[in-house]
Amino acid sequence: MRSLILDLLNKDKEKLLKSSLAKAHENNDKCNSFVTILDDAKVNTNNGAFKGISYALKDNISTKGILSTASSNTLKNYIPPYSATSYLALEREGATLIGKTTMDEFGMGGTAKTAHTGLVRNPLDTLRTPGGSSAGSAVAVSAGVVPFAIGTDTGDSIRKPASYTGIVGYKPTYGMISRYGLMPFASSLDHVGVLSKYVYDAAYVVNYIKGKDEKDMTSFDSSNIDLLKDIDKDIKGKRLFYIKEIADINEYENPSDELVSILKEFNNKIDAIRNIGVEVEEVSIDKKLLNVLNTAYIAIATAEATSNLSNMTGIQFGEREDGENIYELMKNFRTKNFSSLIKRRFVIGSFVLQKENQERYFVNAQRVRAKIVSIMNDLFTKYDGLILPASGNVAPKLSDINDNMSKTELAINNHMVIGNFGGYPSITIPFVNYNNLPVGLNITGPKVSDANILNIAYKLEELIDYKEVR
Amino acid sequence: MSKITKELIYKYASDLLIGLTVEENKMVLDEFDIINEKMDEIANLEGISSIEPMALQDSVDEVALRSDVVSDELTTDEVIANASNKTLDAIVVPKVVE
Repeated sequence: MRSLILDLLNKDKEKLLKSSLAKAHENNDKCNSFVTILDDAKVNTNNGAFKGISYALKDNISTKGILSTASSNTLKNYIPPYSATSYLALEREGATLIGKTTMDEFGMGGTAKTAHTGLVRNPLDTLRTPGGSSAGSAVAVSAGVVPFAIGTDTGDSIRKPASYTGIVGYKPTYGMISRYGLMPFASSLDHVGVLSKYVYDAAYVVNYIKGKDEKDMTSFDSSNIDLLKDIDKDIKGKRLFYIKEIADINEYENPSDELVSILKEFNNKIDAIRNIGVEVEEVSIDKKLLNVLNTAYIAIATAEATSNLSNMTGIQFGEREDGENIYELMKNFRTKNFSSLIKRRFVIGSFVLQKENQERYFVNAQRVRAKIVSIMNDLFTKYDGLILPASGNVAPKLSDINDNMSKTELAINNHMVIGNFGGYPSITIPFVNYNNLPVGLNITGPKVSDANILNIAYKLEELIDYKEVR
Repeated sequence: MSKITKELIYKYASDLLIGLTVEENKMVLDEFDIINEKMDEIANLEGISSIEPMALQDSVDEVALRSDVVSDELTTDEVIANASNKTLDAIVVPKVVE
């Protein structure tokens, strides 16, 4: 069984905690992966599934009495008076929190460049991004600081950083893990999930923090679902599909050498998967629809974020700024403390919600969401899951990227948002290195098929036998 | 549909209680060039206008409101802990009556 957690269960937790804290400081100096390191942490002695094992939490998850900033200046000194359900579940199960990880501000953006404490670096090459928004969580796992970290995923914010740092990123079905205590970005798309070295560990963590929570009315009862029981089962006879318009190199005009190589390796892996008895078929989806998924995502996510974060005024949350009147005070606070990206996205979100613009922008974006979800739901009646590269590139250099929109966005780099649109379980596992940097393989299945998707991912992890970048 | 202009961007920002720099305004304007092009593509998708928009996730369980029972309550100290301006056991608020 490939598992760091199982290996650590019977190890000396005092030593593990000491080692994790030392590595956290070392990694933070190099990569800026933590907003807070809990140097006074004590080994959790609760008699639960984790037996004191160390872990890290993304900083948008509320922890009573512990600084929780969502990597935003607006919350730079905020200490929540209550805790997220996911954090309480880990506490109850005996996991030891060692720190809160750096992220793109409020989860918005994927560059790892918008945290109030500065950009986050990829431990495999510090000139490159680890991806975002769960940047610090991915870095902490990839660098071996902790065996697992909790992240959140609104567009691909767990699964893309996992791809860029050579680890596993798993976003369960929407509602499987309570969002209570998660600082919201786009509530209809936000998921809590996990980053780990191995598939088994991701399944292990979610198995112990999932469940119905009366404080999150979108959560559901999954007490009859065991994510570990059949994880090692033979997957012969399972049925997967990939999307031709994304995975076929002939669909691209002037593809980069990097993309050519990644898709060639992907097709090699598909052959290997077929050789173990899994049926993999090619499916065609209208390219025009695939090419507008990211725009639909931006319209929906910015609209929800504009509303969700309207309480960041310096009155309900944050340290008050000066002003001649209450409006000037709030404007000064929001202008000074939100990053440029957030402010720009708020304006877009507000624009698409205006009555005169709603039909063309917001409602049409919701129609795109409905269309792709309907297509996927139909396909999921015939197949166990969708399999695709998590990205058409390795982690880009920090100097080469920004969060500005581009006319030439490739669907191969944005398709994982389908998992958020439909609330599907979706997992990225490492599968190949290009120029000594990793690229992930993503598997997404129908709602509540988490155990099946984890079983497939576990067996593919075994088949691929990925060699870590050294 | 309103045509996006730099004046409109300043207005929306102001309504959101946000100040934008000239550069930020220009960036939003440039981004709308892309958004508008893409929104044209969406509007031209076959049958798009007849699709029922999806605003929320399909529920796995029946959605029910929880019972209205008092459980956790914050203490006064917890409530005021994050306030930067407080006196005794109260948060000092700005004057709102002009």
